Amino acid sequence: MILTEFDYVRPVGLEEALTLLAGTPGARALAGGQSLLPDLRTGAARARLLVDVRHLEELRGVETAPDGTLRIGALTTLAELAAHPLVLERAPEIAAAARANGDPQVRNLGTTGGNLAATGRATDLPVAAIAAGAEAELAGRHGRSTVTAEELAASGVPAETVITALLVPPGGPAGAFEKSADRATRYPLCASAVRITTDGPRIAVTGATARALRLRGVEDRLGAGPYTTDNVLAAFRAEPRELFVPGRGTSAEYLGHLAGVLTARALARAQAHA
Amino acid sequence: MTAVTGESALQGNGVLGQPLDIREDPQLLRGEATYVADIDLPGTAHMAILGSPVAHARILSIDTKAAQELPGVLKVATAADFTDVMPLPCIWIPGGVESHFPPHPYGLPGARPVLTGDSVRHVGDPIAVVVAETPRQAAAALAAITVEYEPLPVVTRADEALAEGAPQLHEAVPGNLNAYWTCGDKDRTDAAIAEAEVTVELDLVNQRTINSPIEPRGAVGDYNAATDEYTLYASTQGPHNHRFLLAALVLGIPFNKLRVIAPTVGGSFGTKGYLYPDMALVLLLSKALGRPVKWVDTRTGLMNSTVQGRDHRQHVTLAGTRDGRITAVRATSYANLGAYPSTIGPGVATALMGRSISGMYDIPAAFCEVYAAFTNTVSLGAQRGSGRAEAAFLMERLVDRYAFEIGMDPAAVRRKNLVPKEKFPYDNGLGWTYDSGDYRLNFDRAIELSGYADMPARKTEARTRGKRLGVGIASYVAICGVGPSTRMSKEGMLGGTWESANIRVHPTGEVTVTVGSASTGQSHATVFAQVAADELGIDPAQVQVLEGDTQKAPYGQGTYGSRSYSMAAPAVALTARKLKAKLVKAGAVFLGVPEDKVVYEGGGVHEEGNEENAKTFAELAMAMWYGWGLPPEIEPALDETTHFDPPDFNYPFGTHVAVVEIDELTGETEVVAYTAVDDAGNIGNPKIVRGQIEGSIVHGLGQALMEAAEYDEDGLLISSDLNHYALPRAADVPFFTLDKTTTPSPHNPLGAKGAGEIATVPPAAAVVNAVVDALGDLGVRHIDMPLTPEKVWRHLRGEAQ
Repeated sequence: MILTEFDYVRPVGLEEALTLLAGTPGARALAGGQSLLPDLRTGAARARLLVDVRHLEELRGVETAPDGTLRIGALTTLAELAAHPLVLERAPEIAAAARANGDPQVRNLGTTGGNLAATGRATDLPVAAIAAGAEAELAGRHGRSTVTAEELAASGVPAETVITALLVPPGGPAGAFEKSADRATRYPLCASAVRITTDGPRIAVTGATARALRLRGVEDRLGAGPYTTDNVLAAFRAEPRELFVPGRGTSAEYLGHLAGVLTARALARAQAHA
Repeated sequence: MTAVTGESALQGNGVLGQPLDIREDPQLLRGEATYVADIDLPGTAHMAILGSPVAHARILSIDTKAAQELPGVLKVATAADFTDVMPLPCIWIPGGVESHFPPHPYGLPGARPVLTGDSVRHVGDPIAVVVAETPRQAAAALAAITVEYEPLPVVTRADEALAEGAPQLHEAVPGNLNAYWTCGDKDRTDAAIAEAEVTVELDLVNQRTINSPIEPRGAVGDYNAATDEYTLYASTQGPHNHRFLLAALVLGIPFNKLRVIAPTVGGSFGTKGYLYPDMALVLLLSKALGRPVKWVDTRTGLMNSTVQGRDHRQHVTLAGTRDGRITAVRATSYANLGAYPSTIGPGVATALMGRSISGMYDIPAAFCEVYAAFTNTVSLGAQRGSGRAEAAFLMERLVDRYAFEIGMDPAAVRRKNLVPKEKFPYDNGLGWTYDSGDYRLNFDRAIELSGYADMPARKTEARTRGKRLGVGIASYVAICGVGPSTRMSKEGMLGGTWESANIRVHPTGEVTVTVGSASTGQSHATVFAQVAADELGIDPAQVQVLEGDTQKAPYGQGTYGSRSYSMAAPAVALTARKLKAKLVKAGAVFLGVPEDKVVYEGGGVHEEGNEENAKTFAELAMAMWYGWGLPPEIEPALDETTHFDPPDFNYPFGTHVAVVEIDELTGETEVVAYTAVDDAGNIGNPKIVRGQIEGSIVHGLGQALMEAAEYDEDGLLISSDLNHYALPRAADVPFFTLDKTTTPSPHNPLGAKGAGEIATVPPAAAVVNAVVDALGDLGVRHIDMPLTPEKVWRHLRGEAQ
């Protein structure tokens, strides 16, 4: 397909970027471009103006806040995220999800914010962020706000807003991510992320479900464990059948089963790390 | 100059067979090569093609008015604009049997019109073209063309197309049957099956796959009004052949008014040996507009227009004794030719498959019948390993099924039935005469190298990890080196299949080899330089290799069927030998000695026993350029050509062993080890061949595990981009364990056999055999490809038997 025509602008700062996004109908923020550019090519997305935010230093960097929260700048590439010592130590499910993306070229360009903001397809980071209990920091013309990863997955990035950072609360190493990749796209056919907390497990799946979802029913059924494969599969079987949706030539029945298997494996891995 | 190691005057200098670095690679890897899409002639206009959005319909009307008025649009054309243009021809028909084709005015089998005007027969069938100032304007104008269709019923399967009441595609093809073709001895085979101690049967679907070269096709047409000459730049495997077909059988212009140039071609796997409507259209429109016209396909365009591969539905039977001796094999196959016959598609689907079904085995009775049918899908053509891969798949699946039935190890059954060394040349009873081979040596090497004996222990170990391990063997014989022209005429080939080379020695001693073939990524420039350098005793660095331009290259048929190293390279070697013979004659004059006292060595000549009286290669080259002092019987200059037509085909073969692990909970199949021992005769450059073997294996694994062209019931190709059509990635395959055996072919002076595609032939069978082995205790006897996780999972759960 031939890329449709659009204008392109490279603002010098975040404020200018937000003004452009808010003031131009059909404006889209361009970060790594790993979803947006292919989508523009196939016609799955449209844009009149691309606001290139790739060079905004204020959206870069990984640091620890005084309260122990890990602040991951939205332009942190997936490759950086996958290999960052702080992320590996404190949010292993997020590092693993980043590493599971595409191929090295995609990971070198694709960004944390872009992966969280991608709509219309299952990506890897949202489930890991949900399991980690993370929040996304947003910036709009009227200031900054935060939204939980779960809400973000449900509602998407609000119009005229960009994700500036992913905020991961202090936690431990008891997180894990498992994925079965679609053969063609390498997006998750199904992915599961878990974090084991003192209150029990936090579990999120994507691919098998309409969007990245936290599965509280499964969490409640599993409680303090033990997280044997049989227990986890039984907990998934107790979910309403319509939770799982067919896709990519794969039945809902198989995807629901796969979500259970991947979750059981993620729980086992998380326990081994804890 | 390279040191001379040969003992006799006519022996090579040893550079042939060496793993020299591939000289084409740096420019390909750096993106410096020139593809069709990189050709920008001054004043170029851009063409876009409107393909049908529906699979089968009558065209009621086409309204192009709105499109014509859009900015930048130079011309909109439909079939009505090309009534004097002949349809593309089909030149490989099922040999020796009655066949039916769309018509061609010369009485030849027709293939398809350059644009369809009456009906559309598959999604993507070209209806109209737009030429505009820019590609974007041309694409925008396509959307403004309105076509009114009367929908017709759709059929996408060959067996269904032959059923009574099926939708009819072509008036000239009753019942959609292109041909019913057979080979082998039916009565004897039926009798052997009827009398057999054991018979096994399988219903197989060798699914359609989509060729995915990295470069989609493209074409640039450039008509020169001053000379009335046309130039076509195209991604083609056979520039001479396309020149002939286009000039004589499509455009109806004198042969010498058309020049075809193949620039760098980014892979093909068989697809670019075919004639496509766009090649004619860019030439016709260039003439109409007085400007160069360029067309470059997209990936989705490729998937809806470029020939696709495989697509046989088969019922196959094997008979044997209780102790493992195969007594007969029989195959009935429904081959899906697509909506129109492609340039050589019908021959691929019949002879290449049918005559190959007995593989490496000495089977007393064999028979194959093929029903080749038209359906509302993209035309079928070659895909790397074409025909032979489908044959090996059915045979190797049958052998495993048989071994299971009689409780014998599949390796032992195979070994017992291999054609013995002393039986060569071996008539396989289906039409092929295998040239040479030591199958047992090859087979045993693969089995040993794969660690086959350790598999029971590995299976037990795998179960402790929640994995089922399976091992699968597949052997094959892959006819290559097409080929002997007279023989090919009996196979239904309407054309010659010889090959050629010219060598010119320049006055300064550098050499240019020009061949009629045309590389699509097979590193011709590297290996043909090695052939010439080896024969002439010179450094390959001083040998340039040219090809791909019909104005410069000697006539030849192009690259296909892994033929260039056993067809064009022998022509290079024979030409070099002519030059050497001439240099010995001329050397006698220059050295002032009788001819039998001239020693040719290291590219130069010297007097026997007196190395002081000598001429170097460069001195000889200059002397021949001047031509001073030559007697009348020796022509000046060093410029020789050879046209090589071999006495018969060549038959590379090999044995592959796949080891898979299946996740017991998810059904995901991973190929964890893969051993391949291939025999391609004498090899010119092992580095090139290793790359071809590895790529071929990956290609075959793709069909086994993930690739499938899926048409829905309306004939829409669902898998029409790389988001929906899975191709194997590096991470999907293990490191391969590779080895070779070497049995030279007697049918060419290099002892060469085909190599480029041969290792694509067995992997699908090896992998499916391995998966069925892993699941055998669950009662699984066969699984259709691709082996998706859900499909395997359902078998693990005991469903879908």
